[in-house]
Amino acid sequence: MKFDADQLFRKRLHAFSTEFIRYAQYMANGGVLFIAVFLTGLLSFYYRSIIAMIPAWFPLTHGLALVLALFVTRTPHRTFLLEADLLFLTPHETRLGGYFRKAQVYNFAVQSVGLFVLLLLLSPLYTGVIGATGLQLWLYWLVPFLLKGWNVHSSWIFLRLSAKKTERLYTLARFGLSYLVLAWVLSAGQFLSFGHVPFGGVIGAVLIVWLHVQMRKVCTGLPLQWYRLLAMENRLRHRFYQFMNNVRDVPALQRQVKPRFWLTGLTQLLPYGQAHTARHLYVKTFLRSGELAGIYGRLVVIGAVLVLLLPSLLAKAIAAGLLMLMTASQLNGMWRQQGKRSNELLFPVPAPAQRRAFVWMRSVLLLLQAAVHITVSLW
Amino acid sequence: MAALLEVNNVTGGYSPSHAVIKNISFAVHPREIVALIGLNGAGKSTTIKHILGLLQPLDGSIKIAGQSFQSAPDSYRLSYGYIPESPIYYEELTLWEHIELMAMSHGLTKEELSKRAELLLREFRMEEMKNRFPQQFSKGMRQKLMIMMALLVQPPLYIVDEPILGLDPLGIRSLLTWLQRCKEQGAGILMSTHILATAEKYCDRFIILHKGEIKAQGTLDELRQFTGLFGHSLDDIYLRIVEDEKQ
Repeated sequence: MKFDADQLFRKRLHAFSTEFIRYAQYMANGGVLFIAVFLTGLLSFYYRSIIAMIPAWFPLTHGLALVLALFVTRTPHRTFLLEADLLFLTPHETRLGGYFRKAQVYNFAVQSVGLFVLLLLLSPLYTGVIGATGLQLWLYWLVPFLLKGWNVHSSWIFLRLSAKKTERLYTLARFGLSYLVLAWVLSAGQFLSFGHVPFGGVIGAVLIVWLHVQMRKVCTGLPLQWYRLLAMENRLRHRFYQFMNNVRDVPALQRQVKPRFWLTGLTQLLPYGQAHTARHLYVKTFLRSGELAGIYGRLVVIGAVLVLLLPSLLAKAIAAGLLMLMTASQLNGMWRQQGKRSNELLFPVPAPAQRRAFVWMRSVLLLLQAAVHITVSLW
Repeated sequence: MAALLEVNNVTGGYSPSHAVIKNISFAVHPREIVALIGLNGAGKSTTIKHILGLLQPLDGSIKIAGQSFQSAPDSYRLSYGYIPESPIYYEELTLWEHIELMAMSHGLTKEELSKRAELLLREFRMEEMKNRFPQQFSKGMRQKLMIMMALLVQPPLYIVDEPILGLDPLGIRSLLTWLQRCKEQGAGILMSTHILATAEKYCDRFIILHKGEIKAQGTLDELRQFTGLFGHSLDDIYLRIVEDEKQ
């Protein structure tokens, strides 16, 4: 039987989109979406007054270029690879060109959606505050997409490098180039222009030539880094599941663990003893969970920023309340996951004691979040 | 001597319509190591899951120190130490934190914990792994974690499922001599295995399980008498019993 890379990609993409649509339906029915839409509405209602808070001395063009450059440089590559591909696909590596090209198109398309939203969000700044019109506006909507496409293409090639350090260096170069081009374009060619010589353009041209020479070298000489591609795919897939886990339990969700010894030292504050076993267990599990603690931290920060930005006390209170609801829903997800573990044998803690310990931890985390929000609003 | 573990006419399995083990009866007394021997799929792990209270018998009863799981689930779970065939652990906890939580959940004092843990870590050569996560361990090291956790709490009864697979030779020796010592101090041990040479050397009695039923049980001499294979090894006896069944 002939190996058909294109068909394989179509099959994998189809499987993922089916899954995506299923979860999207759950999300449409769930409360989290409602909260997110409500918060977005609240923010857009106050958007103008928030923009008005930007001081006059702030170099807005460079700020925009920086945010956009970060966004176009960050190019995660979904490849839909599976663990078993290490065994079954590696022999076909040379025939997989079409497969990975399609994957790149997919990544460009998906990331462009995010880019579009970002441009839409920032456009009042560019048109309103900076006052761009005509050709400049066309460039604002065009150049970031071109850069995105180029970044997706070039970062894919640099993924063949086995040394992470070198790859990071090229990522930095990609970022430098993207920033340079964006700052140059958004400032209508004024960036790094002395006399009549547009140094910004010159440095950009040199950088791009250098990068292309390097890319050719890497591209022809090195094989694919399968383990790294797989790790990246697993990470992205895990993030997707983690996100969807907000609205629906995802059975395939695997936990990612970060050591965080600097944080787990906190558990030493808990007393030692049989009655406290479950508390120790839950606090450590929470602090080390790759995503959960991160999501909690992000929700607290988002809440703090909203409380800081929103002008009226009522709006502050509503935003803080909704974010705490989201936190509670996240933490309940942790409890549901816990129930599915087959580790009850490991530490014989009676079920009611487990439940009590979880409720205790949830209260402590919510109180902490509330304390942060209140402190910020008083400040 | 009163039995530590009593399994009386137990029939059970994963669904009520399909019994995996049928009418099984045996006992484990203090100061003895009993081997549960059988082929893959003979029902060893199913038997063990019933003893642990993870599966409920369709018929018959199981008691540890006179108590059944139904009558006192909390103290029942505290009365045995279990070494599973495939290691189970929390990805989020280090080796030391597993040991610490184990001690905590069994009500050990801090002094007992540090004294016993130190000895175990040294015996199983895991001192340097103390602050590492089981995820980074080899299968054998994870197995050692399971072993140390069970040995730490010094329960009256040990239930050990295929302990030797994946362990290095030094680990096997450490485990078996440690279990021997536990036995001398009064513990009872039920060990499922299909490494017959080891079972013959270390176990006092043998239960031969085949297709969910007990085909024979007793000391090596009793089994020799039963099969008429005088002077033969456990290997020969076992094969004879299983082959007879085939014919």
